[in-house]
Amino acid sequence: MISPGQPQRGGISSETGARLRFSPEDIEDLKENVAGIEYASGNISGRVQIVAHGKNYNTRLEGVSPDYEKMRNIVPIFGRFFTKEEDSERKRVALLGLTVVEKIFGSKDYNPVGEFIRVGWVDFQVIGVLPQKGYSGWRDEDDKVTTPLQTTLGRLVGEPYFNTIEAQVRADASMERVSELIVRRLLFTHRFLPTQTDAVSVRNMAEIQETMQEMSKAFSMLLGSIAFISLLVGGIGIMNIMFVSVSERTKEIGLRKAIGANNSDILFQFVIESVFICCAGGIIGILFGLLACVVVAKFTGWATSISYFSIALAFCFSVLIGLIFGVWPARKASLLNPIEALRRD
Amino acid sequence: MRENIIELKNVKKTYYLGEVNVSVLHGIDLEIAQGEFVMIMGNSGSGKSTLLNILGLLDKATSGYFKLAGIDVSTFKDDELSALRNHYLGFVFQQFHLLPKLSSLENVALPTIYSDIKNLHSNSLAKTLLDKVGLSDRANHKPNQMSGGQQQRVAIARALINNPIVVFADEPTGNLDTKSSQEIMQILKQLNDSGITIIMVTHEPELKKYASRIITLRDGLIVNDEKNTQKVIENSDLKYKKFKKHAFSLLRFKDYCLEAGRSLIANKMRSALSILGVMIGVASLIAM
Ligand SMILES: Nc1ncnc2c1ncn2[C@@H]1O[C@H](COP(=O)(O)OP(=O)(O)OP(=O)(O)O)[C@@H](O)[C@H]1O
Ligand SMILES: [Mg+2]
Repeated sequence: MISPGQPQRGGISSETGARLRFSPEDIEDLKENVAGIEYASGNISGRVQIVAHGKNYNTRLEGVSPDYEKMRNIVPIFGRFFTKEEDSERKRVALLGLTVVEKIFGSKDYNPVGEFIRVGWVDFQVIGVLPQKGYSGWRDEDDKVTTPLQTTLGRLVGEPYFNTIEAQVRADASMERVSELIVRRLLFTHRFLPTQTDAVSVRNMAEIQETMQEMSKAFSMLLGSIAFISLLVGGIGIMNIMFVSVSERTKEIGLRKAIGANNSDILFQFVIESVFICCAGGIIGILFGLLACVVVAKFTGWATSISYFSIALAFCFSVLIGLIFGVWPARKASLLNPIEALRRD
Repeated sequence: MRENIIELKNVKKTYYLGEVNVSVLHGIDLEIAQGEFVMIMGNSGSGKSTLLNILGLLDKATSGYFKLAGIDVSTFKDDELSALRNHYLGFVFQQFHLLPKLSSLENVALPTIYSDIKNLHSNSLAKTLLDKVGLSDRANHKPNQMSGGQQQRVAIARALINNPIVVFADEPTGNLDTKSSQEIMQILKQLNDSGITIIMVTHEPELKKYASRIITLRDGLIVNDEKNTQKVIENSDLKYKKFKKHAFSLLRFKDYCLEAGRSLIANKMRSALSILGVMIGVASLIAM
């Protein structure tokens, strides 16, 4: 469970083993009896088929408690979040993600508030549109429908149990202490022995987040160093080919000088040649690089992103290297006197 | 009295090879008049090529006074020497030194790129010159499609394109058989008859008959200077061409582009490989 948008470290997610299942009463009970919990929300999710507007679309449905709005700082684009009453009265209201709005109503800009959608065999009224979240990894976070937890349990799932509670701890409370209290309370209310602590598991989101951040940092460092190595290898390749192709022409340079070329004549010719080679190679290289990205994206399904900065960097770097190693040997040769240059093989 | 086209006084040449100094020319005094056909002879290692290269401004003397066409060149910088070579001199080498990827016509026209006076007819002029050396049917042949004698004739045509007053030839027949040598010598003879001064290095005594003057070198000194008076051509109405110090200008930019483009096209494989090298470099950068 990843929650990159979480404003505050301190979200807790608890999950039960097979023998302990949460019911909506647990949420209120925890908020009342465990000091230090600021918000708590149940969470249940699954795939559903929704029908509306003549369209049929498969998406993810998420049932949450009213506290979820504050925990995730949700500000709907259109409409509003559902209220505590709507949850406890199992009102058939729903908020749609942007992708769902687009798939059903044709455009992301459409305001669907007030429309009816059918989820399974139940009609829901749309009361809001969830704010855009984009992709997390390769999962489209906007491809979902959010409904009140109790409505979901009562009308779609058919039994009042679910497996996850997310809680947010007060800023001044100790995370370890609160998770201990949560486990103790849950074991107590569900009539478990205080020693059966493995019936409930508490995961600290802040810790997970930290590990994720460290991992992604290490990953981007790895990518960065690979990019640097290929920059180096590419640069050395360009160096080689330009150096060799100019060095082998020492004789030509000698002859051109003998028949009257001066040093700047020679230099200009080679600068232009190098610029041409580097630009042609650079442009074809950019096209090939982009193609490679697209192909990789196609085959692996990764969302590859190409930054203009890296294109500009690659291009400028290779043109610079090409220029230096196209012109430097030419300059060296043009400084020889023509006879010496002609004698070279 | 004809004007001297070349005046040397006490010209010395020493090669500095690290610790060892090799003194090759020990003080050469020489005057060459316009219209002469000079042959420089001597043993191997006597300094003939060294002298010829200094006379042709391809190399610089270590010390001494040198006047070419009335211009004191001892103070000239490299670029000015290039311009002088282009303007006044033509060269024929033993190894021909044609650019292998260019056709004979392009090879002949090559010096016009670097000349100040824009010759809009350089191509037709090159054709005329190829005709003159008897190669009008080989205009589009590459050097490797021609015999040594034919290549040398292309090289002579190239030496003539800027209308030089002196042509230098270092063993021009050294790589050729007798028949081709005769052809080359005939052409040089005709040039000399038209008023161009020829200075040539050779090992072959049987070519002496073409020369109007034979200079013999031994160990960096002139030991014999023999004038064959009957051969002196009194035709010297060839006027000195005016020489302006050449200044570098971007007006040549178009020429540079053309030259670069031609060289890229002429060497397709090399260009393609270079482009491929750059391409792989850039592509690998972007794909990361
Ligand atoms: N670049 C150089 N560095 C050092 N010594 C040189 C150089 N060029 C020529 N020499 C020396 O100068 C001397 C004269 O050389 P040069 O090439 O002028 O002889 P040459 O008369 O042309 O001989 P050949 O008939 O064999 O061509 C030789 O002893 C040679 O070793
Ligand atoms: Mg020699």
